[in-house]
Amino acid sequence: MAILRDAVTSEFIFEGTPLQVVRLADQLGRDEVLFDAVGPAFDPDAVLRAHGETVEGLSGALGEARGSDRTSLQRAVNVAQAEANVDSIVRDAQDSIERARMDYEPGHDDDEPDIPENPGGASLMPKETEPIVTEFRQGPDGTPERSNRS
Amino acid sequence: MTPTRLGIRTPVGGDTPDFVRDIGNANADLDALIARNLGNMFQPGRLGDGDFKVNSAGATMSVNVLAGVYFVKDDGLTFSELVPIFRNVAPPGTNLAIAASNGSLPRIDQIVANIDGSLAVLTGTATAGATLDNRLGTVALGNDQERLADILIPAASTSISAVNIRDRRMWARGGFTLRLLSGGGASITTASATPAAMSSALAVRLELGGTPIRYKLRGRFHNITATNSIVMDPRVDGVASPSGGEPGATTWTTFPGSGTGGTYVEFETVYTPAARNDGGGVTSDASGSHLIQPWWSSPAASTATLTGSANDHAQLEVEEMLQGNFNNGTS
Repeated sequence: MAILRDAVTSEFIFEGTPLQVVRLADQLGRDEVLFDAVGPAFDPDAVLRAHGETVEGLSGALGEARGSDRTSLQRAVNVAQAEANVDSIVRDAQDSIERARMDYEPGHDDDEPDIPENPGGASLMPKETEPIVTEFRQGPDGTPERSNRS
Repeated sequence: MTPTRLGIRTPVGGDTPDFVRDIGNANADLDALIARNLGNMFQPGRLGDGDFKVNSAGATMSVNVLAGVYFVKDDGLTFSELVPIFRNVAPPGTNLAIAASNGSLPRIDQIVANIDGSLAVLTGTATAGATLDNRLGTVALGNDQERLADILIPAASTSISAVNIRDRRMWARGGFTLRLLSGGGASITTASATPAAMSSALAVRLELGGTPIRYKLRGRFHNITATNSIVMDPRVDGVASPSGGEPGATTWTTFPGSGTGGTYVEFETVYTPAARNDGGGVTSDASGSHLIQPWWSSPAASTATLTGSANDHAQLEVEEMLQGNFNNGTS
């Protein structure tokens, strides 16, 4: 199965068929995600093209088919269309990205001090604004929940 | 004390037998002898499915390694002997701590087994965009070490989940796997001239040692237009079959006939890694973790179907062969 990861943290977002991860990547924005467990030559556009050709070919054949052929073709069309429908998982995927980035510290490197040295003396700190306080509390399922208030 | 037959030291001539010394020597010599000959029968890796398996330890920055047997290659010796190591620990196994995640970059760590039977974590360098496929920032293995798993540590993460662990254990006796298109009468369909991966049910990830692999696909094929072909491509890592494999490895083609049930067909290819091939050779089945999955297309874009049933399985079969690709010349 193919895996979709957050482009910023590499955190896991979703696991599914190549078509599902590509369709989901398009919903989330391809710049926002990484493909994993698919091999180095993975071509998301080719996945979409192949799926489009299959649905088109099956639909064309369905129009001419009779009897049991028609039943099996209709089933194949339904399966192909259902696989491409990721609407029900987009919201969960967005939540996964948000959770993954909750503790993310842009530009932070464990080997460097958090506050850059400033021999010139001028303040490098951002101007003071309304403080953002992030509170963490335990959710009902044991996972941390976050709320921001200012 | 002099080595005699089989390289086992025994008292000779005027030696005075010493039970403790002689048993000790024989034990040590047998260990070395067995290890040296294991190299002719096995490759580094596990014997059983659970041996040295690396698992998530739940909501902690650590992993558990199960007990079992593992063969480790002794890189420092001329004969490249294999040394069996044993760990006997009750489930969930030996707990190994993983270094805290980087605040802004993902990292790949490796869990390794050492030839002395110990376990270790090789901490990687945090690198933007690291995935289990690209392994960015990983460090090289040392001598006398075998890789058990890659661990992806997302930026700012606080636990190791199962989906971020990739099993990297090889199979000491060679890997073999069979994957079935599940369910009686299960079928998959394509009408695409653009090659696409077959069902995920007919895909498998294997840690290969760099020996040849036998790659088989069988099932009942049908094309709605009897004279149209179906083309299968036995891919590794989604890469089109490289040149240099067995002739005919590039694609498998069938014209399944006009019957509504199609034709039961079996395809087979042997891939020989470059290092073991006299000419050319392929690169995609070199040692390492590989996704083995056939692709297919219907060049005339007519509807093609692969069906499996209880009697005519649609299945993928992959076998790693430890023999290599050698010969004694032609004269």
